[in-house]
Amino acid sequence: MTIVDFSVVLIGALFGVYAICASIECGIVLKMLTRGPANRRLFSPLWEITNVFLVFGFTALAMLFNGALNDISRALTATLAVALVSLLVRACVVLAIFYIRGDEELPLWLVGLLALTTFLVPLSFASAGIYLLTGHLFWASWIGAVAGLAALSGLAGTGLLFVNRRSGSKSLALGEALAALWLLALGCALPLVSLHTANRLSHDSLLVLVVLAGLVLTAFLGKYVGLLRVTLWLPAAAVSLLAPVILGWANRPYLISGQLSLSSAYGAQTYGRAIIIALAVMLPLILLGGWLFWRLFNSQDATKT
Amino acid sequence: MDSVVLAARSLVADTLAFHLFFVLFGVGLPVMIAGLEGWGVFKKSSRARKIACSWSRALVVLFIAGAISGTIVSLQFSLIWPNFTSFAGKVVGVSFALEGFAFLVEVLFLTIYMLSWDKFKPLWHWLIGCLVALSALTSAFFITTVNAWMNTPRGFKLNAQGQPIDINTRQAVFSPAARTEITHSILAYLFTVVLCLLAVYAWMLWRRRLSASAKAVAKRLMLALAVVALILGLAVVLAGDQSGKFDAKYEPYKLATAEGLQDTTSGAPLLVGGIVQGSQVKDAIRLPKLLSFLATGHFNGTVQGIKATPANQRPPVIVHYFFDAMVAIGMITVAVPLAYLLARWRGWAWSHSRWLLGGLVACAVLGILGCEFGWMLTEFGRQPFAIRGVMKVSDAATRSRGAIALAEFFPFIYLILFALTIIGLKRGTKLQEALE
Repeated sequence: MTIVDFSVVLIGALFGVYAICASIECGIVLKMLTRGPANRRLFSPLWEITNVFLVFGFTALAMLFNGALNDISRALTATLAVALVSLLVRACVVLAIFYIRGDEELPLWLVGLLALTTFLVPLSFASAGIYLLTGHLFWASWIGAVAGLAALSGLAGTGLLFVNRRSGSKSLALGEALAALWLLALGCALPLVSLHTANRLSHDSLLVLVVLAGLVLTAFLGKYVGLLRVTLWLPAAAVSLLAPVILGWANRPYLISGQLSLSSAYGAQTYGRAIIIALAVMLPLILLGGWLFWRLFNSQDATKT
Repeated sequence: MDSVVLAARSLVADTLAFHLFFVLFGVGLPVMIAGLEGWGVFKKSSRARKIACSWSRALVVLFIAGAISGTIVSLQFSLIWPNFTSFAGKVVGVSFALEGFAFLVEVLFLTIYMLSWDKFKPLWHWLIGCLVALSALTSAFFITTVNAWMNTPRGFKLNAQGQPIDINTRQAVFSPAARTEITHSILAYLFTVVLCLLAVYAWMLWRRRLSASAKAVAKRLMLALAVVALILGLAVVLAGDQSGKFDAKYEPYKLATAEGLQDTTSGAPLLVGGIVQGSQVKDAIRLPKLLSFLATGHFNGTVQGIKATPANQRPPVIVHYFFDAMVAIGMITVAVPLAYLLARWRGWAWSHSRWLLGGLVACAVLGILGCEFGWMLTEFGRQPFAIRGVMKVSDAATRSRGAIALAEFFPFIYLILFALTIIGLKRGTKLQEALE
């Protein structure tokens, strides 16, 4: 694996972690919407940590592939402006909900605004990712539309699986249905449409995605008919983590499909290795932090629910 | 200047001015919290830990807007300044990346810190707080190295197409301006945060709504904070003096413009106040030979004038106002805590008078303004370049007209977010309860 390939995997993994965190946020706000303001404490301002993975992933992309910035700026300013505005509005709503309204009852429009902005930020970045994969904005091609549908159903489905992970319900709930739709789109429709439109995605890598999505779908089915007793959230999170990595890998040798190659865009020849070494040094600390956070979050979540 | 470049400039100016307010708390407050909690742990003072906890609640409120504006800064630099980020990324991209690592560790452990006040042993909890503070300082260190490199770019050569070659990352990251700029800015953040904490308790005493025991605690805390403020304030003054000497040597155009000094002069006077007219400063108070002394350490030292720099490479003389404002604020914000400490030490009756408490509150606002003016001096002082001598601002910006719409829209949301943060701080931190 070359340093350029490793950079693709690294950036994909960072956006994968972001996708998991963002889907959890989406699940929580959907639950706040459907179950009323009593569920507000499921969400916490500390979830703003999600944005750090966003910054980290985007900074890694901008620094390692700095030769692509002009193309990205020209094509994606409007798309990513949606994320910028949503981030700001969302921060206003979070402050209003948690520090200004205190324990007052929340109006539906405020929770609705939180839900809308919570979805718009990752969807805006997913749209940017679709541009890298297809070379077109997401509404300009079939594959873009399918990928957009996959992103939306993935966020809602994985999020709902997370918030309902302790419910023990065997029925095919909305979360499972959305997650199944997501897996179908991501694992079957996206590769099929991609091969049909011949936009140069690597067949082998897409096969991995199809197999992975198929296995998780089988697990869903197994749980539905009562053959398996598994927590569906974890396999769904694994797909969220791996999907950006696999799709980025499948897009090689391009960064922007058909327009800009990875080698032309790569601009970190002098310090790429330094970044990888720094990451390797800090990874244990980040993993320790992630583990501690998860334990504390789970214990707090259990107390509140 | 075309409208897209103007929009890009105003957008980044708004965002950075807004972000700086939160940066200084993001860097300074974790250090102060770790200091106070450490005191509480080693002296076994539950009250100190309780007060540190109340400060950490304020940090979370500030963190919401700070993390968002930080996210927006990083995205804006790539989208609105792609040529700059592409060029800088090749040379000092490692600083951006390491800043990102440090920021990730900071927020991850800040989250753990906030969730574990009553779950970890005090020593372990304090160690996590120290990690948060260390990460905050590291993050500030690396991002300031980028700005220092923009002022004194080193560590590369340009090829025929104007792209960097023969890159030496170490030289680029540790450019000549790095030492003075990092020291001056981080000390100023710490100083401002201490002034703000001092102001919060001064405000509580000013309002006269504290119980007798809470008042006594507040006064003890103010005494400690005033001592720290004085030490940090003097350190900022010394770092500023070093910055002035550095500018005289490496960025003489900036110093000359800040002082409106036209010709290269020995025994140059320091201009205080005055009105900027064209490229000159009129009606200022002239302090003979003081500029030479501050710049070189000698009253008859030679200071380079504006005319030594080509006309199309000179910064706007408006930086004189920023320089004067920063220095004046620095002097006032050191003098007021000093007066408070003297009054406490001598037992003077006016040590907690309303006008002195009001003065301490004003120092917090002035401290924040001082940081803003300092950065405005740095940024305007580099004009018309984004990277001094290498890339002009007009060449660094995007050509996308989307920037114009964003520039018109964003300031309003920043104002709303700022107002909500202030209300959130007032309602969500419970600083007064921690004194009881």
